[in-house]
Amino acid sequence: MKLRDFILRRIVLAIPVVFGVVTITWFLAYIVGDPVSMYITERTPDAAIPGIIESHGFNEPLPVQFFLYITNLLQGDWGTSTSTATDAPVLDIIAQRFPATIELALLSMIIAIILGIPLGIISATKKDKPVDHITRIFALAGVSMPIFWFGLMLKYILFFQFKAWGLPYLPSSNRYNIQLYDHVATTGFILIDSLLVGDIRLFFDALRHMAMPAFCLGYLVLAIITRMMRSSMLEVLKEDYITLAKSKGLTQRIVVYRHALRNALIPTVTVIGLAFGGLMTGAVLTETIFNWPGLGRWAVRSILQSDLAGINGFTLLVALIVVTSNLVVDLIYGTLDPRIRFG
Amino acid sequence: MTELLVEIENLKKYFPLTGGVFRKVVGKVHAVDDVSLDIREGETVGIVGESGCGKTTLGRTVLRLLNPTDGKIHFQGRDITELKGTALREIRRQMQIVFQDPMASLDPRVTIKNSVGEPLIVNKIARGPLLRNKVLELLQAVGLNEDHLNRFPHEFSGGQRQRICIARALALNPKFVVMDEPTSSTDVSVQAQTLNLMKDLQKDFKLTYMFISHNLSVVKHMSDRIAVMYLGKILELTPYDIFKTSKHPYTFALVSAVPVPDPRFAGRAQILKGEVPSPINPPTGCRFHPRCIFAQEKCKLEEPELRDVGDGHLVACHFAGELDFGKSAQMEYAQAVSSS
Amino acid sequence: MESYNDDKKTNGEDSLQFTILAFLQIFVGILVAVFGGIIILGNLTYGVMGAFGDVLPPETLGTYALQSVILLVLGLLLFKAGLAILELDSFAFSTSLYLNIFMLLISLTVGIIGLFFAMLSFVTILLLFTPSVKLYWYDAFKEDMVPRIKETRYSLHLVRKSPLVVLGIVLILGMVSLAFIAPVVAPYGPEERIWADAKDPPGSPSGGKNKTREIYDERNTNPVPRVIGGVDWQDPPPILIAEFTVYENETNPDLGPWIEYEIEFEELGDDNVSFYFAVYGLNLTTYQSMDESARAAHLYYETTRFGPRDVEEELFLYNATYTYVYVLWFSCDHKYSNWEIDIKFTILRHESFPDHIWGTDEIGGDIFSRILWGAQIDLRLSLTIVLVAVSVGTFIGAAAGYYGGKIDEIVMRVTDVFFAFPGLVLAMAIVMALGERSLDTISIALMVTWWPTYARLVRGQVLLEREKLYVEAARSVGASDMRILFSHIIPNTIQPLIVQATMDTGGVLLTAAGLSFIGFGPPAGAAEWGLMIAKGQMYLTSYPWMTVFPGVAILLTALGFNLVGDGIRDIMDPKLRRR
Repeated sequence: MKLRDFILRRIVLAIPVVFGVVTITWFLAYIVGDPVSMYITERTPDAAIPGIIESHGFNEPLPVQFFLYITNLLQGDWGTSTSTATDAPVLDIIAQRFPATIELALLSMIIAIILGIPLGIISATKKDKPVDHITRIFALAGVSMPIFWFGLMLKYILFFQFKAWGLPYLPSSNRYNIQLYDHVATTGFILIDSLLVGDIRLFFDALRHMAMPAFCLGYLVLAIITRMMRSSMLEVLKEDYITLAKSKGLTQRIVVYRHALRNALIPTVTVIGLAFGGLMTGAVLTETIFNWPGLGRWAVRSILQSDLAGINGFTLLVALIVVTSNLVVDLIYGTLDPRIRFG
Repeated sequence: MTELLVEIENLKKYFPLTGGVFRKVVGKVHAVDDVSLDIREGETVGIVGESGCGKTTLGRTVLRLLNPTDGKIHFQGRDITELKGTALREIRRQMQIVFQDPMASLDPRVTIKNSVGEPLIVNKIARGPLLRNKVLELLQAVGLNEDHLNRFPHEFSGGQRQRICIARALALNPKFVVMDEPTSSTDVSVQAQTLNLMKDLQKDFKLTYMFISHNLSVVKHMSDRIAVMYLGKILELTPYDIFKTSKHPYTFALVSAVPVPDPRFAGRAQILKGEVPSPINPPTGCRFHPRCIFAQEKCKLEEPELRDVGDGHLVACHFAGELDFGKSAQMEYAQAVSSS
Repeated sequence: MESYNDDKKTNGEDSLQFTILAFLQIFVGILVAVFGGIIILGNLTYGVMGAFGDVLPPETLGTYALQSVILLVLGLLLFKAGLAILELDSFAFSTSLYLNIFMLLISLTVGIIGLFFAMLSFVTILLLFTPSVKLYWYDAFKEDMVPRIKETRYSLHLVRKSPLVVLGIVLILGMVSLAFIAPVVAPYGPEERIWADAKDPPGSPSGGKNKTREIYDERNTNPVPRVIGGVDWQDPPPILIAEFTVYENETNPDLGPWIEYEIEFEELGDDNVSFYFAVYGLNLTTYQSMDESARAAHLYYETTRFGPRDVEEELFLYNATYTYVYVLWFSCDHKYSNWEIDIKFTILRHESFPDHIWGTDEIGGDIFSRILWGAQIDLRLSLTIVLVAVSVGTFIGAAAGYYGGKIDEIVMRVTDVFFAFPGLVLAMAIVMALGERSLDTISIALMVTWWPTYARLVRGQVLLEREKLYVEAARSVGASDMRILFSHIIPNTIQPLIVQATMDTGGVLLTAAGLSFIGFGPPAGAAEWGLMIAKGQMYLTSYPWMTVFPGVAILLTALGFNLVGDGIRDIMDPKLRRR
C-alpha cells in the first residue's frame, strides 16, 4: 500500500471511533439523569433558559437532541461546569487547566524515557544476572504500584519527614510558590513562561514543585518502557545480523548501541505513544494528591460534586487525546516500518 | 488401462488482492489458471515448479481445502466441486494431504495418539481402547512404536514428525493422498528414508499420490508422470524421464539448473533470464515467453495449448519438438557416468 | 495391556450404571446451570434497578456473583459431559471426573444449597468408580495422564528455576489464604471500632478491660419531603433498616447488653426534622418476613423526636438473642438538601483485647484486622471482575474471529471506541452514570471497561490459529467447525488469555482501589484497602501507619499477580519448551 493511502486509511478509520466516543459520552450523560444540567446551572439567568432549551433541542425527540449535541460540541459549546469557583464554560476550563496537566505529563514522560531505555538495555544485556532480576522487579513494581499510595509516600518522606529533619525538601502541592512569585500565563506552561520572562528563580521553583508529581506519574510509564525495551532488545539480539556483527569482532558495546538499539527502539516508541492513556489515568490520581491545578483534579471534583458537564467534557477530551496519540503512533510506526502498511 | 481416480477440468483459483483507502479489490493473483489433469488409480503424478507457481494451491484446491474459482473436480467420477457440509466431509475421508511443515501441521498441545487418532474420532470410527489399537497399528506402519503414543510433537525429530503426519493421513484408509513437499524440511538422509516409506505405503495401502515438490530429482524418483507448472499453468506433462526427454524450454531450463557433481560439466547450466513475472498480471500469449531464449513473435500473441507429442507426453509450446536445446550438463553427466 | 484388546469389556452399553450416570450428569448440569443463571439474572436485575433507584440486593446475591458465573459455565459443561457419556464417548468420563471434582470444591463455598450440589457431585464420582464403569475408561485415562503429568512436572521444574515466579506465587497464595482465614485470624471485626484505642501506633496494647465497641452506619440520603404534624409514621418507607450484633462477651449477665446509640444529622439548615427510631429483637431476615403486628411483639425500644436534633441515648436490651434490627424513619420539609445521617452504637465489652500490631485508625479500628478483611473484599472484587470480563470478552472475541465479516468489523469498531478511554476514566464516568457508590457499581464499571481487552486478544488469537496448518489438517480429515474451535483453536488461545488475565487481575485491583480512593467505593467504614488509604491520607503526617500498611498490601498483591503473569508467559508456551 502506498504511504498516502495508508495515512488516509488510518484517518478514515479514526472517524467512527471518534463518533463512537461522542455517542458513549452522550449516552452516559443521558443515564446520569439530566443532560439539561450540563447547560443550565443555578446561575444561568432566567432569560437565557428558553434559548438554551431551544438550541439543544430538549423539547425534541432523542435523535434530534443527539444531533444537536454533536453540533454544539463542534461549535465549541461543551456545557457549563459548576465545579469551579464560578460557573465557567467547559472549554474555557480545559484551555486554562490543560497546560498544567500536559506539562506534568511531558516531564514525567521525559523522566521515564531517560531512565527506562537504559534500564531496559542493561536488563537485556545482562539477562538472568542479578542486575536483570532487580531491574525486572523494579519494573514490575512500577506496574503494580498503586499510584495514589506511591504519591502519598513520596509526599510523606520527601516533604514532611525531610522538613521535620531539617533537610532540603520538595514542595508537595501547587505548581509554584504563589506567595513568592507571580506567574503571568502566556503559553500556560510555567517552565516556558518563566524562561520567556527571564525569571530563572521561578523556573527552578516550578521545577522543584513538579519533581515529585512528575516522578510519581513517571514511574508507571518508566516501568512500561523498561519492560518493553528489555523484551524488544532481547528479541533483536537474537537476530542473525547481530550474530554477524559480533562475529566481525565488534565489542558488545558497539553491537548493542550501533546495531541493536535502533531496531529495538521501534516497538518502544509505540509503547511510549500508547502509554499516554495510562498517563491520563495517572494524572487524575496524582493531581488529586499533589493538589495540582490540572484537568485530573477538576475531573475528580466534578464527579464528587455531580458536575455532569465537567465529567462529560473531561471524558471526551481524554478519549480524543488518546485517539489522536494512537493515530500519531500508528502513522509514525507505518512510516518507520513499511511492513506494517501491508498488515 | 486402470481407472481414472481424479479428473481436474479447467481448474482456476484466483486470490483477490485488496488495496486503497477502503480496501477495495484491486486485482487478483492467478495462482492456478486453467489446469486440466487426470490422475489414474495407483499412479503417482509429480507436480514440479519454482516456488510461487501455484503447485501447492493446486493440491489444496483439488482436495477442496480451497474453493476453486472455476472449473470442475471429479473424484471417482463424481463431481465434488460444489459439495458442502456432510457430503464434503465424507468425500474427504477418501482424499488426504500431507503438508510441507510437519511441525506446524501437528497441534502442539495434542499427544500423538490423539493427533493421529483425530480422523478416527471425528468420523466416529473408533474410540476408547479400540482407538489406541488402531493408532498403534498406523504408527507401526510408518515405523514408530508404542512408546511414542503419548508424546507431544515437540519431542520428535523432523523425520519422525513427517511420518506421524503420514500416519494421520492414512488413518481413514484414503485412496488419494496429496503430498505437499513432504520432504523439503528434512535433511537428505531422512528424506530418502521417508520417500522409500511412502513408496512402500503406496503398495501396501493401494494409494494414489499427487506428489508436489520443487526438487526434480525427488519428483523423478517418486513419480510415474510429471507435470511442470509455471505461473499457474501446466507447461509440460510427461510420462518419461524428465532429465532426458524434456520438450518444453522451461523444463529444460529447470533440468539444466540442477547441479551436477562433476566439475567438468559445470558452468554450462542454461540460466533463465529475468525474474518470474508477477502472477497478478501474467504475460500475454505464452506465459513463459519473457524468459524464453527461443521466444518469437507468435509466443507473445498466442497462448499455446497443451498438445500431445506422442504417448501421452503433453507440451504447451508452439514449437514443441522443433527446438534444439543442445545437451544439458545433466545429460552429458549421465552419459559420462553410464559410459565409464 | 490386554484390556485394550478385549473388546468385550467395552460392551458396557447395556449396563444400568452408565445410564444412571449419564442422566444424573445431565440433571445436575441443568440444575447447576439454572442456579447460576438465576443468581446472575438476579444480580443484573438489581444492578439495573440500582442504577435507577436505591435498591440494595439481598446479601447472598452479591456474595455469590463470582460463583454464579462459574456455576453457569460448569453446569453447561456437566450437561455436555452427560450427553457424551450417554454416547459412551471415552473422553467424557475423565472430563466428568474433573468437572465433578471442581464442582465439589466450588459448591462448598455457596452455602446450604451448595452442600446439596456437592453431594450430587460426590455421588457422580462414586458412580464413575463403580467396577463396570471404571473398566471402560480408567486405563485409558491413566495412560492419557502420563504425558500430562510429565508436562506438569516439567512446568513445575521451570517454575522452580525462576525465582520471580516463585515469589509471585508465594505472594498470591499468601494473600488468598489470608483472605480465607481472616475470620479466624483477624483479632477484630471488619468494622469494629474501639474508641479508646483511636490513633494507636503499631504494636500498641489495647487499653485494658471493659471497653466499648462501636458500630457505625453512615448514609447519605434524600429524605422523603414531608411536612410534619399529624402524619402516620408508618406511611413513608423507613430510610434505614439494618441489623447489628451483640456478642456474648458484651452481655452483662445481670442486665443484658448495654448500648448507647447516637444519631447525628449533617446539613441541618433550618429544616424541621423529625424521626422515629426503634430497635427490634429480631434479625433482618426474620424482621422482613414478619408483618407489623408480629414485629410489635419483639419491639424493645422506640422513640419519636421532633425538632432538634442530634440524639444520644442509652438503652438496655434484655434478650437472649444477640442480633437486633434497628429502624429509622425520618422526615424533613426541605426538598433539595442532601442529608448525611450517622448512627453509632457503642457497646460495652467485658474483656481485654488483643494488641494492635499494625496500629489503629482515627476512630479505633484495628489496621491489621481490617487489612485481612480487606483482602477478602479486594481479591473477590478483582477476581470477579476479571472472570466476568474474560468470559464476556472470550465469547465475543471468539465469535468475531471465527465468523469474521460484518460481526468482526462491528466488534472491532466497538472495542476501538472502548480503547479510546483509559480504564479509570471510563470507569469513573460509568460509576457516575450508575449513580450509587458501592463495590457493586465499581465492579460493573470495571467489567464494562475491561472486556474489550480480552475480546481483542481472543479474536487475534483465533484469527492466528485459524490459519495454522494443524487446523487445516483437522479440517481435511473432516472435523466439524465446533470441534476445530473447541479442541484446537481455544486450547491454543487460552494460554495467552491466562497470562493476560493474571496480569490484569493486578491492574484491576489497582484501578478498583483507585476508584474507591477517589471516593466511589463502598460507604466509609468498610474494610477496603483503597478506602483505608483515602482515610489515612488525612492523617498522613501524624499517623502514617494508617496509609502505609494498606498500600503495601495492594502493592504486594498486584506485584504477585504481575510476577506470575510475566513469568508463566514463557513457561506455558509449548514452542519455547525444549529439553
